Amino acid sequence: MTQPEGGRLADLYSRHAAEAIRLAYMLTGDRQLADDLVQDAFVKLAGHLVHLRDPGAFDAYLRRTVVNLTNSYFRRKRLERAYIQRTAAEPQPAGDGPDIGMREDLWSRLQQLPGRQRTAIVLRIYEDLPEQQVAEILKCRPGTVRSLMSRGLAELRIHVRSDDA
Amino acid sequence: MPEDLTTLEQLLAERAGEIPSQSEAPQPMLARARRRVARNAVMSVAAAGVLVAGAAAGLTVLRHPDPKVISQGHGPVPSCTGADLRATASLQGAMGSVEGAIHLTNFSDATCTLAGRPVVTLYRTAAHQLTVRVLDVGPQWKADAASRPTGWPVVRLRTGAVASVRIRWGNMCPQLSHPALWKVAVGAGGTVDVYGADGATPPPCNGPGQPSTLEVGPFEPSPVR
Repeated sequence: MTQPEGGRLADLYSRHAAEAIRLAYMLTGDRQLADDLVQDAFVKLAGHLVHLRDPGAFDAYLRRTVVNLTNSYFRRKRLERAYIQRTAAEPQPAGDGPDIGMREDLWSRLQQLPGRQRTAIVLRIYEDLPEQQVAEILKCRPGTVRSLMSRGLAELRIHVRSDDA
Repeated sequence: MPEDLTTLEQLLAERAGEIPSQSEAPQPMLARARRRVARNAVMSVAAAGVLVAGAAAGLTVLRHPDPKVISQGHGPVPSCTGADLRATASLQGAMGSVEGAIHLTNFSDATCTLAGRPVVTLYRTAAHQLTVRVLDVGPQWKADAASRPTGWPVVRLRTGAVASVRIRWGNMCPQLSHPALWKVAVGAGGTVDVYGADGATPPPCNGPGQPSTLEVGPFEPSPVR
């Protein structure tokens, strides 16, 4: 990589990394893992910087890469996840208070959702992306995104008011 | 108790707030990115090389519709002779010696093979051969811990394909004031003058009274340059 490309990557990192780490953190629930996945995403994109059809859409490329890497990570760690799901079924220690305990419980339930449901929820609710864009990232139809959202929110025991939908 | 969507939105926003806004690119990540870009470049060059070699082979077949020539790929392939080859050198000074490789390109219209080692000779002038102690060394692919090239130790050279010979020349006493002439003899007969070696300054005289040494490797497919 030439020096200007290295400088360009460093510049892109300082502009986009924080948001990408937040997304990865939502998807994984693990801060360190989120850092690692985002670094992997930047390394992967570094090889394609000159080929990006629309350099202005770097954040979209990065978001898609983070989601794909996260999915790959969870596919590799399927056995570990099965273990986590088993242990999560065991009684949880009491929280610090009713509100914090409830939030922690919700966070924990979010991390235990099937990957595509969790990704759909995070992209729609946290990233506030339209259904069509989420569908493109997940490589499915918008109707499938709605279905993933609906099942995921039901798993989280989230009550959706009609004006939320 | 069922929660509403606002609770989830607030939770995600809170968690997002745990990540600092500003972050500098970690140096190890930039180093990994540099390595990846370099690897991609090498792979692109290799792919281009494969395309060029394929095109060259295709042109050879088109230029020689003679069935005997076309069937050569399936039958015995002759050894390359000096008349088939052109030689160039990429040598540079390193740690008191001159090292690099001699590259042999098949300029004939037919595929031929090289095996074993060439006889490399050095000349101070056209009529004055330099006395050097020739030492056999292993191929570059082994030194690089790369995988064994297909077919090695036989190197099959299609038209335009390149074989390499690893070279290291050390301790030339008395030191030469000008570049040496290099010649390469191949097993099947014939000697090839090496072009491009005049850019390499002969090695210094590090051990007066000691012989000059010339390390020569076997023929091997040329790495992507």
